[in-house]
Amino acid sequence: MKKLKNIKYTTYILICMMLFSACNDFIEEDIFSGITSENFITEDNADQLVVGIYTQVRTVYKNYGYKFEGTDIFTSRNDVTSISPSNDYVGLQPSNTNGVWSNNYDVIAKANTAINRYENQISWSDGRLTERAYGIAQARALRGLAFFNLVQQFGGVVIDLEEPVSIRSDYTRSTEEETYNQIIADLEAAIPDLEDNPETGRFSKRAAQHLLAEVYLTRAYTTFGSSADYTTAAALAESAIGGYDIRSQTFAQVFAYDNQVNDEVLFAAQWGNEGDAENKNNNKHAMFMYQVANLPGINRTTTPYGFSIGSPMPTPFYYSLFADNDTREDATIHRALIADGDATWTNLAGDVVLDNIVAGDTIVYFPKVALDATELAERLDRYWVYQPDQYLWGTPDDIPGVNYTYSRNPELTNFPIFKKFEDEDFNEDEEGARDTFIFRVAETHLIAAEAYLGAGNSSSALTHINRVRERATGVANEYTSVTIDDILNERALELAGEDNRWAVLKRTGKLEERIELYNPHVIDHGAFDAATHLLRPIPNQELTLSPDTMTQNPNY
Amino acid sequence: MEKLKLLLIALLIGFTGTSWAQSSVSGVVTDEQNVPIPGVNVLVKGTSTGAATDFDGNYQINASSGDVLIFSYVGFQTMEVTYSGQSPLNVQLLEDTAKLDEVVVIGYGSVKRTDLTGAVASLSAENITEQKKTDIGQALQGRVAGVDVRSLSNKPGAPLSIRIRGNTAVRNDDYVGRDGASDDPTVDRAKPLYVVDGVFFEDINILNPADIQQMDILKDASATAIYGSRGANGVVIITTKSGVEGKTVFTYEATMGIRSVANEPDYFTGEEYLNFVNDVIRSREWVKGFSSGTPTVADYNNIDVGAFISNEIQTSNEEANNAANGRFTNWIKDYQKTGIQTSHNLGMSGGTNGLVYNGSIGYLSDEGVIGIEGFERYNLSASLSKRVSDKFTVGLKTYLAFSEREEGSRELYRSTQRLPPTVNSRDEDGNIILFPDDQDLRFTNPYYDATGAWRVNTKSMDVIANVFLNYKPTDWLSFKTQFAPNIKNTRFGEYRGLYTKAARNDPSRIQSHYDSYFNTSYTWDNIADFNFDVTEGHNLKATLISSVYYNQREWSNIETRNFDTDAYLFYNTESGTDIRDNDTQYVKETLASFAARVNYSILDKYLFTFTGRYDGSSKLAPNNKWDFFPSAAFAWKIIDEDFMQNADWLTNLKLRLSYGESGNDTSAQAYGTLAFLGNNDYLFGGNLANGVTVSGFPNFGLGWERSKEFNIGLDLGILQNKVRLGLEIYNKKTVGSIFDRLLSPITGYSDAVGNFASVRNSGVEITLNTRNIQTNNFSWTTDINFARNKNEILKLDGELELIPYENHGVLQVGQPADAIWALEPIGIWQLDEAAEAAVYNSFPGRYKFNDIDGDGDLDNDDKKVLGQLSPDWTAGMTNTFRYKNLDLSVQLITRQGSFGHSEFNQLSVPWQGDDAKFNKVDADYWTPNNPDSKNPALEYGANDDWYYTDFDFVRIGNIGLGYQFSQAMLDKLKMSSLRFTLDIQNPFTFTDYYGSDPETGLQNNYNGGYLVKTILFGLKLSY
Repeated sequence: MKKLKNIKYTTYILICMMLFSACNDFIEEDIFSGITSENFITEDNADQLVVGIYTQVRTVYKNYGYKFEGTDIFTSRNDVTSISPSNDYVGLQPSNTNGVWSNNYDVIAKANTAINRYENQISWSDGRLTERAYGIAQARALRGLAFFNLVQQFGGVVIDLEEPVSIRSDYTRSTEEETYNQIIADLEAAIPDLEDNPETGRFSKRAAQHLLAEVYLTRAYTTFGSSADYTTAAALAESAIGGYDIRSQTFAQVFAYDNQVNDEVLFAAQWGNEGDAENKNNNKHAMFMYQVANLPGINRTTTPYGFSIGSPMPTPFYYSLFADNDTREDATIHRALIADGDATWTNLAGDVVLDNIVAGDTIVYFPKVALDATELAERLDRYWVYQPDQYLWGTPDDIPGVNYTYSRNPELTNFPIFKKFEDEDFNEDEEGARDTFIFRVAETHLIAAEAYLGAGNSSSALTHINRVRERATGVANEYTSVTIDDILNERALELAGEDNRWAVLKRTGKLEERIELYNPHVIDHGAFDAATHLLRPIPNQELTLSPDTMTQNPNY
Repeated sequence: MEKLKLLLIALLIGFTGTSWAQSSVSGVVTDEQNVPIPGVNVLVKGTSTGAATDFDGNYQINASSGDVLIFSYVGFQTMEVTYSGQSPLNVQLLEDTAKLDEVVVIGYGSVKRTDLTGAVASLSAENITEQKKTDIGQALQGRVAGVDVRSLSNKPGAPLSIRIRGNTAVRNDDYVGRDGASDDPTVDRAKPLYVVDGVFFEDINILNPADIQQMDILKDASATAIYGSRGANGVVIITTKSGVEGKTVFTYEATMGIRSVANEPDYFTGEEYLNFVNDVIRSREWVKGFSSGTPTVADYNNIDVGAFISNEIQTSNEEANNAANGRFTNWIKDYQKTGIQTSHNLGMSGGTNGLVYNGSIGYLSDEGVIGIEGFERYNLSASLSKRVSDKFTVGLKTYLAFSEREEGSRELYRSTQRLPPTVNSRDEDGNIILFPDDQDLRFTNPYYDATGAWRVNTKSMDVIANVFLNYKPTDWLSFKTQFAPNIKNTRFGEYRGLYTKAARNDPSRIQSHYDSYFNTSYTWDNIADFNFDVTEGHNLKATLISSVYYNQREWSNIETRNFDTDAYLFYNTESGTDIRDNDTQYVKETLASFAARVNYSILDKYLFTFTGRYDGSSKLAPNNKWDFFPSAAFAWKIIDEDFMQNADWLTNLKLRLSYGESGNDTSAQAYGTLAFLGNNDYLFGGNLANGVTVSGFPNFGLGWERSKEFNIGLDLGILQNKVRLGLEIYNKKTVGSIFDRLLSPITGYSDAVGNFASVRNSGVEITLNTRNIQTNNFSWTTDINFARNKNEILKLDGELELIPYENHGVLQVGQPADAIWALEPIGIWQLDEAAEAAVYNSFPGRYKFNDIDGDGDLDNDDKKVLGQLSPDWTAGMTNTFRYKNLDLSVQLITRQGSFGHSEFNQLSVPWQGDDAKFNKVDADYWTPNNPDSKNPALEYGANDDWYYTDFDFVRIGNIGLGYQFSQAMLDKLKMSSLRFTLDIQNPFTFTDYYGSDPETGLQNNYNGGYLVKTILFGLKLSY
């Protein structure tokens, strides 16, 4: 009897459980707040994957590491005796992670994904094969750009061209030569499928030629490069220039805020006011300045100058390069800082008003030529004046009896701040809307000049450098001879803060010589060692995540 | 008629017979200490003949030989003695060891504690409410061995972190790099599973402790395996009150008290601050001397502070004047206040004819000690059940909680501490100065924050309902089906007005946030219980369960900025013209489960439990969705063995052994196995283009994290349970631990979620309860709990030995998962070591770090594990004294061995290197004149990261005094109980930590607030 009952009740339970035979449906995932990558991407929207790469490129050019500090034209705005490894090479250590490394690999990984999906996942109709080729070409060109950024800093890097789908702990670096071969392969494959006049902001054929010119030029200097590389570079630079005459716009016009899209620009990271907040998040405007909003009359919220990030400042050498007739100076730097609001400047005790500052008044003035004592004292009654030899950290001795004594300036480093990246739409050091120029034709001319010089063709080199000079000074054929130092100086005047100064000095073999001449911190206590510092340290994270295969650069 | 006669005769004979045999029995009733017990009831079994002992414990009663006398008294075990002519018949009553007979809830059922095979701790309603804590987490703190409860903030209504047996999560989301641990306990992957009346639950903070009948904590895997994939972090089962059949009982409880700042950090006074400013200048200028040699002590003393003072003590406002005249503002004191805490709870319960009911309403108001902080909670509960017939019982329970938490400003606490005492709050005309320190326009006057310019307000409404049907067709079988929906609605609003530090008088930075969350979930359990004797002495209990759990959350976030007025708070987000966030989200998780448990006992001495649960989860990869979690346990009641019968001193001895496997479901996030596309739009010459990138590394093989745990338990009672000892030893190995693993940047992803590591938690838990003194009028008992847990990473995926992350995190084989990895200071560089220090670009007065590899520089190779966030051990001790109607209890809790980065130190220690902008705590620092300081020099002495500290503390958690009215008084008042209490919570904390509260020190605690001392008067009555 009991047994029968047992069976009966067990059956009941089983029936109860059967009710849940639909269990597997019950535990399916429902998704509404996201799209998964499996089914979304088709030939109709495949371009979105390519657009995603451009977004990553922005980040690369918002990273200022390893570009400026530790060169002849930029140094740290801290005390000359202070140590800053990225500028003076004292105790330069591998960091755990590195933005230059990871931002460029972000571009590479997104490009790899796009290429993989374009080639292997998306089914393309015959009529759209051009779009397929164009998408892949953009992805390869941007990947080439990222690898080039890496190889210049780190030497040979890991060449991984697959979309990442599994976790690896065996990443291995290729040689520098292999890395160059990869870059050249990417760009040469891309150039035929890129457009001559693409949508603004997309990588054009001429931009790729400019980049490839620079790649060949850089390789030409290496042990595995050849003199033919100079010639190839020069030819590519000529193609990139095309028929464009840079004299059709002044230097100031190129940097006019309302002229960010202009024919001189071959490639730029695009920023603006539309769409996502992320589209308006450039911070280039905050570079190469000091905290001027701490000065009386310059208001943190209404200042047109923005708010400083980072510590790089131009070296005295940089300011000394500007000839009197060089129109670029006025477009590049501010020699006067102007109040944007009213303020009261009182004496130390706060009970006597020394100066009623109104908007438009000068607050700090940086004369190009040192003033004599009388004029200096007269002007120091109205605002601070810093003579050309007083730009570095430190407070000049007070001039007695003036209203603006140096010791009362809250900022300890005062120098003519940068103007050419100035934004009109920003919030402190962020949220800028100005595009960051990556390649423009003036630079292509200077690449051409350098390539011709390397190839032994001085006259063509002169043509190109003089074209750039002429636009700045109005003087035709100003250079009658040209050396690599001339090109470096001209690049400084034309491209300061735009090009990767460190990489340019490294490529030309002039880094050590020029920093020891012109970088005040290096002169004071620099520890540059060519055997070590011509390559940057690989981030530690890579070594810990691929412990058996990853190698550090020598001496780090 | 005949029958009636016969009956009468029989009765007469019977009466005479008994009266003939009866004699007077007398004796003394004492307790185990031979102290007489007055008022003991003595009853002849089966009759109405009874008596009571007098004041000296004497009794006298008529009984016949062979009668059974029953001695009973509250608090003692009832004793039956057969009378066989003894004279006197003295009796010793044993203290009621209710603990041993209590019922323990073990998930989908309950057992008597004596029959328990796993490691389960219980707290009764009395335990939970005796300290008058405002929420359950606090009530649990320091009470159960192996349950580590920690406040995450000191603001009213703050959530708590509860960890059972350490941290199973290899890389816990609650750890947010440099800023310490998250204030949001829901992101803690090591949090236990909460089950309230059978319902899976997120936030137990909303429950009113007064509504809790019992709380049971399942610790080992044999106990938690019944919860399968969700049990690995331990399970906290909370049972709310139900009615008890009997007359209607009303209870009312109220508390009223004052909250004030405890353990205020010792900041510089005005005079000390001026001295500090001078030292900052000296230190800063002196160190410059190293660029041209080695400066001396004399150089330090000779520095002309006056030449630099205007950079620190401003002359453009009143500051210099204040400094010169010794006029100082005590910002800290000016913004402290006392808060009022009140609570009221009214309950009613009873039942008749199989219908039982219980209802309660509760209210709590808790004010903060700074600004507008406060917490209010309303609770309403009702339960009703009816035994419809012998076979059917139906019931319904609903629980409703509403709370409003105002966190006030996130900046106020820090501002009041950091503003220098030399600057003014008001001008000569008494107007508030917006920026008191015009050297630093980041700091607005805290007046505005204190008066509501910055609000962080959360309103929550929870509704839990629970309907069940019991069907018991026969005495050995019953079925139960229970359906329990749970709805939670939360509104989070934040407003940062014009004069807050966030906006700093710039309307474009005024922020308004309005987020709403709507969660719906249900649990549906079907349970079949079997209970029968297989043969004589062999009992089988089995429980079969099928269960589904559905949890769907949706939420919206709105954030806008740029308002032209502060009038709207967060109620008019549209007026903010700068739209930052307008998002909606949907997440669904489901779990389908089948589980079974078999309890088999032989002779009630050998107990076996087998448990298994088969879980299918929506969150895992398609091929890994289903998994099985088994466990087995054995308990041996050694005390009941024949060979123990002579060991009179031993009252209880039981050994428990168990092994089980269970999972952790918080470590797998919904949709974690899918590759999503992230929006990455771009502008082409001002034209917007949609862009996408694969936003996360997809893991197509994600499976359950699984903990495998051995547990040995011993329950020991000595000398009539005067000493009771509970011992647990466990070893829990978690394999396939799910975490966000750091990826090589070469992948383009920062991290990936997967089953990447194994970790072990092993430890010991000791619970000791002693009755030290027990006399008629006085008793003293001590309850001690101690737990030690060791956490160790056993293996990392890819055979990696070490993965550093963020500022000081590391996953290193052989080290705790929450280790702090940093350079190790081995002192301070001294003047005579200047040359040696220079090798490391360092100077006398800075930390001297251990150069482990001796290569002359300090890098990752020189970092080591210096400690871990989790404590090495925790303990609690409560001493309770009773004298007549008065009782006093003192609770002591301690956490030892927790180490980590202190946000407080980074902001407030004097060597922090922020010039003399801010006030600092009065801690020792190095100067050439004070070379023995263990802390570095001002200004240049700071090291970017080195703000690590111990968070050890010993705290008197509570001192409680109670007065219970005597029965005689109560009878006069026609009440059944009346009790007055006075509790002092957190009166004393002993610690070396510089901040206010070492318990919350790990948090990002610039917003955490002061430790609060509460003095609370309470009243509880029932009739």
